[in-house]
This record gives sequence, structure tokens and C-alpha cells, in this order.
Amino acid sequence: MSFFSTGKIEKEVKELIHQHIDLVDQCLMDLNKMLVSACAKEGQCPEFTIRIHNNETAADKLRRVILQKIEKGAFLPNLRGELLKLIEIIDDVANRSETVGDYYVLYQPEFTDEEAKTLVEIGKMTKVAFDLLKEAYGSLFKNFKKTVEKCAEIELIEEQIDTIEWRIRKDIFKGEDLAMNILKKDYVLLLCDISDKIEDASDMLEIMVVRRKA
Amino acid sequence: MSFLNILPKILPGTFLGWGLGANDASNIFGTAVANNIIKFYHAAILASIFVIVGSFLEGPKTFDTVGGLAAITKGDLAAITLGAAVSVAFFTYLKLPISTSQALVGSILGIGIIKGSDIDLKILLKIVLCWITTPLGAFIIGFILYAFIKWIFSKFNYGVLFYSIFIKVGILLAGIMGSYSLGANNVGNVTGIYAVHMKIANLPFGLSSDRFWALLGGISIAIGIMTYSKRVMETVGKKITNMLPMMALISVVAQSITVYIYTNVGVPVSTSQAIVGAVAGVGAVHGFSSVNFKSIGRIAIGWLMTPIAAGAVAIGTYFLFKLF
Repeated sequence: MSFFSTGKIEKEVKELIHQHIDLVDQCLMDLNKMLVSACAKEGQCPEFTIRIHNNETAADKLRRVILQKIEKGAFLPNLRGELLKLIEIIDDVANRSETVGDYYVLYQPEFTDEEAKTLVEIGKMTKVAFDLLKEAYGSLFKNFKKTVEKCAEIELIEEQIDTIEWRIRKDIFKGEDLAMNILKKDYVLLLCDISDKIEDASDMLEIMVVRRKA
Repeated sequence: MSFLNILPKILPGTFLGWGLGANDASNIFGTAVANNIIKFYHAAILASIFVIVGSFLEGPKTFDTVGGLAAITKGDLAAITLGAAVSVAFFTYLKLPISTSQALVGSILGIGIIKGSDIDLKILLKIVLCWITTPLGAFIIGFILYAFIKWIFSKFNYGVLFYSIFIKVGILLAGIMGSYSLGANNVGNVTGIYAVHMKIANLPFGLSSDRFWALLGGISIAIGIMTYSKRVMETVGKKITNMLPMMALISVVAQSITVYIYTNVGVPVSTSQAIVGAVAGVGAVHGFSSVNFKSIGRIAIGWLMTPIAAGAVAIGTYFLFKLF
């Protein structure tokens, strides 16, 4: 046995985290499809919700496997805790996607066409932010500068989503049905919460970089 | 004098070496072992090998300082080393900081004073100056080294993989360096006074008397590392896990360099005090507010209390030996 782990377990963990991120990405893609389907009033939302559920469950299981691998001694001690925190935040993206899907299917908030289009737009922007997060994570292992650049881009997108969220919430309350307005407002909050979590993950990545600047 | 004749007399010295190994290896590999960067038995094997190598090759450099401090006789050697060993064990049990070097010097002075022997004030002054400058030197070396590494790392782009490999290889090399320095410097505490006062002739492989004592001291330190350092490593290591890995690595390197410098000055110094100074120096790069002045205060108390306590214990041991 070598004095140190030869890096095999690190490579394995790195790959497993990639797989975990891909599963969370799949949740977001299905959520976006659900938003488009809801916008087009196609009635396929429950199908997409089930798919989100399945991918979220798979991501959860994978997260536990990663946790066990990391605890066996992969990476340096400080990095272990930070990676676990990062995975936890990314996993929360899948959890929030699931909540948004469930909320729509269970309570069926009735959005106007324009509002539905805005929600699709928010979904797309959220997906772009997540793609940037994937890139930021990928470059964490070889290129800190790129990680920081991608995190900065995520922050910009998140700000844009916040602006749209503020506008749509304001518009929602122009409707007369107060109960429906509250239902719709809560749905928007949940949807926009996903990009907040992506921003949290990018913040975590930035912290990881800063702590390794010697 | 044959080896079998001296065996009973050197047991207190080997006991002191055992205690030194059990305690001081934690300053070198503690962080790495406590955080599963390296397995304990790998660290222990590495540390033991390089402590013996360091003791054998450079250990005799400090013998004359320890052995020449006071005019003592062969009969006092066991009382001196036992006095130091008991003090070290007692202070360690109370979880108080103790330096083997200071305990031994306290013991020698204690016995020297009680017997009215001549004490070489020049050597004593040199030793005391080295005690004071050990944490100070480690502070300066730690500060400069960490500032330099920070500057180098700011000049190029890298990722977690390079950083992790750098730290892992660095910790391994720093551990080896630290173990070598520990052996080279501190073996003088263990068998230095024996080497000066008990010359052995006709050793196999053309071994000189000094090399024999250095080897014996190194082996006793290594036994302490192998048999009893795990718990101390885990305790000490966990205390400094809040440090960034690079800071921990540079601290060990700075401590090793400092201790090695004092080997060439010919004075055994405290590795524990060197590591505290090094940690403070590395921390000071981020601002002096991060320096733990409480630890520095504990060192100052150690400077005063350890020799006094060890001297008192040695005097007690001396009279006890006289009874039997």
C-alpha cells in the first residue's frame, strides 16, 4: 500500500460528483419541459414531475455513496468538508426542482399566457446558470481562474432572475382572485429559489478557491 | 567499558528518549495523521527511520553542550536523566507544555548545584539564548517562507489537483525533514551526557563511542514514536486542523529548519516551542491579530517552570539513589 492514496479514490469521487451534478441537471431539464408543457397547456406535467422525482431520488442515493467515499479519506481534510457542503447545496437544487414540480401538479396555479412565458424564461435562465455551475465545478480541479469567472457569470444571471421575479410578483397581484394570486406568488418564489441555490453553490466554489490561494 | 556493564545505567536515558519520541513526533506528523492524510503506522515508520538517521549522522553535534554544562560524574547520569524523564512524564500527564531540552538542563543544573559542581556559565548562556531564539527564529522563518510561497502561488493558475498533490508531497517531505531534525537535535538530550561521560571502546564495525550513543538515543526515540505517539499525534493534530493545509505544511517546514539550525549551533532545543513560533509566524502573514499570544505566554512559563521543576525532581532522585 502506498503512503498516500494514489489519487484513484479522488478520481472516483470527482467522477461520482459529476454524475450527481448530471442527475440534478436532468431534474432541471425535466422541470423546464414541465414549464413549457404547462405554458402550452399540454397536460404532460405529471409525467415530468415523476421523472424529476426519480432523478432526485437517484441523486440522493449517489450523494450518500459520495459521502461514504469521501469519509474514507479522499482528498485533503479541508476539501472533504467543503466538497460535502457543495454536494449538499447542489442536491438542494434537485430538491427545489421536485418541490416546484409537485406544487404545480398539486395546486395547479393558473398563470396568464404572458406569465407562463416569463416562467419558461426563468426556467431557461436557471438552466444556463446551472450549466455554468457545471463548468465552474469542472475547472475547479485544474483552473481556479476559470472557476472564478464562471461563478461571476452565475451571479449576473441570478441578478437578472431576481429582477424578473420582482416584476412578475408585482404583476401577479394585479389579478382579482387573492387566493390564486398568493398561490401563484408562492410558486414563483419556489421557482426562483432554485437559482438562489445555484448561486449558493457557486459561492461555495469561490470559497474553496480562495482557501487554496496558498 | 562494555555495553553489558552500562545497560542498567542507561535505562533512564532510554526512558527519556521513549518519552521524547512519544511526544515530539506529534509536532511533525500530527496534522497529517489526525486528518487521515497519512496512516499512523506509515508516519511512525518514516519518522522512526529518519529520527535514527538524523541522530546517527548529526546527533553528536549537540553532545558537548549538554555534557559540558556542569562537572558531573558517571554516577549522576542516571539521576539526571531519570529526573528529566519523570518531569517530562509528569508535565505531559498534566497536559502542560514541557520541553525535554529544558527538563534535562534543569536536571543537570539541579544536581550540579546540590553537589557544588562547576557550572559552565558560557554554555548556560548559550543554551538560554537558544531557548529564547528558537520560537523567535521559527516565527521569522515561518513568516518569510509562507509569504514567499503565497507570492509564488499568486503568480500562476492552478486547480485543486495540483494543490492537493503539492500539499501531500510537501507533508511527506516536511515530515521526513522534521524527523531528521528531531533526531539530529534532540538525541543530545537523550544520550548526550552519557556520550561525554561514558566513552565506550571496541565497538563493532569501527563505530565510535559518540556514534554508538547517538544510535542508541535515536533508537529509543524511534521506539517512543512507534509505541506511544499515536494518541498524542491525534490530539495535537486535531488542535490545528483549523489551519489551512498550506499554513500547516509551512509551519512544519519552518520548525524543521529552525531545529536543524540549532543542531549546527550545537544546542538541543524544544521542537514544541519551535512549532508554536512557526505557526505564529505563518499566521502573522495574514496579520498579527491572528497570532496566539496565549501560546507564547505558555512558552514563557515553560522556560521558567520546566528547568526549576526538573531540577527539583532530579535532586529528589539523586537523594533517593543515595539511599539505595
